[in-house]
Amino acid sequence: MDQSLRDFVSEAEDILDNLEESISLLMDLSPDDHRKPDIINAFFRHAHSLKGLSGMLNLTNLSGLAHHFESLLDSIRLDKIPLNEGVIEVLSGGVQLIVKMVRSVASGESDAAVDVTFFIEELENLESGGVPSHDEDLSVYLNVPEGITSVLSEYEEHRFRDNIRKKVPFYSVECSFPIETFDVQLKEITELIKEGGELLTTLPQTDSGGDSSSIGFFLYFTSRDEESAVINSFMDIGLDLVTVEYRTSPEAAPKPEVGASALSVSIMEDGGSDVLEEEVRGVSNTVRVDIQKLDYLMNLVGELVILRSGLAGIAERTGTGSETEISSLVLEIEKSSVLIERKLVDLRDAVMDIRMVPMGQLFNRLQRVSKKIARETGKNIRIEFHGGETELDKMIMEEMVSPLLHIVRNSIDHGIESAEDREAKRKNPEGLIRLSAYQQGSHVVLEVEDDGRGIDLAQVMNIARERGLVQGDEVLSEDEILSFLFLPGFSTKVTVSEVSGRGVGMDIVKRELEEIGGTVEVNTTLDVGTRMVLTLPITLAILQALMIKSSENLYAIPMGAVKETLQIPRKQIKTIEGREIITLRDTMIPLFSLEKIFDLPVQDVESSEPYIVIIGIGTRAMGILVDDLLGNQDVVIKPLGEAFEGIEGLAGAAELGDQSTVLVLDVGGLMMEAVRLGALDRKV
Amino acid sequence: MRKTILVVEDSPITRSLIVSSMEDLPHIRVVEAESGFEALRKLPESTPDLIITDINMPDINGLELVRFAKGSENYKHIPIIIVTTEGRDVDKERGLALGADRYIIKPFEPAALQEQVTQLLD
Repeated sequence: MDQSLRDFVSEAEDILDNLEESISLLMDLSPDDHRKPDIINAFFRHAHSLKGLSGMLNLTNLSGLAHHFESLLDSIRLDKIPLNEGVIEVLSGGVQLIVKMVRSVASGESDAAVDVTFFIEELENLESGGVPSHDEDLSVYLNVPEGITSVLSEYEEHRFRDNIRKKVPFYSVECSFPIETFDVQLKEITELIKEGGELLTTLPQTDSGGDSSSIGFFLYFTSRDEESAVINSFMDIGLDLVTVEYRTSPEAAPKPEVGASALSVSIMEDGGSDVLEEEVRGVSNTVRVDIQKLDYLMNLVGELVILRSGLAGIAERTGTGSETEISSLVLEIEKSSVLIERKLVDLRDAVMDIRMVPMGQLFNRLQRVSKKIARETGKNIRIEFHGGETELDKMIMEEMVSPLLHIVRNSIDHGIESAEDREAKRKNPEGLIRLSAYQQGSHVVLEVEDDGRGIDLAQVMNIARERGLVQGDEVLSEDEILSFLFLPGFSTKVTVSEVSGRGVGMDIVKRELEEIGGTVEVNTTLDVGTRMVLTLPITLAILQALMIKSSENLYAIPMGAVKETLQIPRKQIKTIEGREIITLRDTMIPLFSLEKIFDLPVQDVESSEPYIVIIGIGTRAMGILVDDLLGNQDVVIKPLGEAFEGIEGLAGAAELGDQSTVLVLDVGGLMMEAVRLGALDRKV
Repeated sequence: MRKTILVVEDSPITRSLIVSSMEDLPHIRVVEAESGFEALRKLPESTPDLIITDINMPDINGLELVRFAKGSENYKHIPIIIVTTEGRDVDKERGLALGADRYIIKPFEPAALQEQVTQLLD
């Protein structure tokens, strides 16, 4: 992709994020919320920006679509077209199309690849319904200077009229700030205004020559709060408010009637799961980076260069030094090495930091799509998002699109009951699905919780029995029963709904998570709800790993999966039913060796005090018997070649400082192999 | 003697296109602002000979910038070109009514903008 196209995609993606956010907000707010005009206006501006941007790159189809979008939004913000649910649906569909077009352009295709003629016709139908209104000058209704209308934009004028119609109290305030800081100070004031009302216009005051070290502004705004409260809150920041009086009592000018009734919405395609997933995915592989972060990186690199040349100098001196001089030089080298290591850690952290993006980006996109799915099922569901500011590696976040969408769809489709069922159970008729993200040490946790019907363990058991997975009257723990859900093709729904496509697919979710080193767990209570907990590593690129030696082979185990390490006398290892176990703080932990898992030859010598590395994922744990522990190291995992495909238990390989290669273990895979070999219980 | 042009535009790509087409002209120095507020700040320190401004911007829009400049003793002599988009006639009209000297519709050929700028600066 050439540079200008890359720039375009990056800027377009920003605008798309904004569009998604706008539509999410619009769907959430009640019709009377005082923040709505602002949001619609922001929506209009984003569409306008997209039009300009795509026009500059001669993407005529995209800019044409954006243009129609912008006209529709202009009519909406001027109240020529009411913003009802039907219109919001059309807008949502439009955003969807824009995403498709941008993605098409991003992958090198033309923007004509997406057919939008039908949609544009719909937009045009909507627009033609509007009726222009003719009103007197504003100064007829409000105590404002005559001719103020000419300095207002058409939209601002409309906002004045709309508020006049609703008889909302008007205020004006005059303020002046030093030119260095006016934007910050002005922002404080506008935020204060927007809390309780609407900012109508900010007019920089023209000066009459002379001093330009300060700049004055005149603001008009409305507020629904009590007059005394408003006046006081401004007095607190040293500003005098003027209440703008109404002149004549404004007759409620009739709101323009729109010909179009609630519109039927066509969502361009339905194609089930893949189409929806496409919508939620990010468009590009780029991240926006704060310049300060890059400056910090440059500094670190610079310091490393200095340290390195220090080392080079030391190396030179060893060539000519006496023995005592050489040993003191060795000390210097060691010191340098420690300093360099610290800088490298800082460098690693700084680079990882740049890959991080907030979960909110994914949440915004998920919100729009999940609301669409909910509407299609006809269920009344509220979807909440928490922890959008939690940051995650961009690559990992993109990997989470599919699993999260799957889980949310399950909740909507199978979890939340119909309104009648909920009423019968005396639940809130509105179902709730809550997604939260938070950081926990070196992991990020995503939870998807619903207050639906929960998972019927008895039903799961029945199906398991039918499939021969459970013998007769075996009794299983709740965890063991739930783990059946993660087997391929296991579904507790007899009919497959159109929304979820082929079935529940939790096995795929589990797989996708394990591939990136994460885990999934389920908690559920019948008739109360279900919670899925996904644990993810914060970043993939560089890992801390524990180096171990087993039968002369070196392996690396990701520290995230290492629960503890110990060394015990061999006689503490017991054998029960052919399996080796140890008892650790009242828990029995099964043991195995890597040779057994990978079917490798074993060294004859068995140490009397072997080391054990307890590894685990989620609530499962087991111990690996090893000959030696060789400390922690940062490793960069690289994928193994095709020859290694299909071997469970290997995550990849890493290159060590001395240029030797070590195999990096995949703990999830190891545990599965252990199960297969009978070293571990059947729980998958 | 070099002339200074103030370019006010919030879209990075569009701004860089305008800036580079201006820098291609002889004896020109370009000052950039990525919002109306930033333009207000840069006006006194750069005393431009020409302003090119977009209309659609977040904090104060291009129309308010035109009104401010044309109403201020210090800046009313500065010619202003407003950049509008297709179909926004109302912006163009209000801008011209407020005192903007020329308008140009995006997307435009750099040569067209350069032509207008050269005319206004002579």
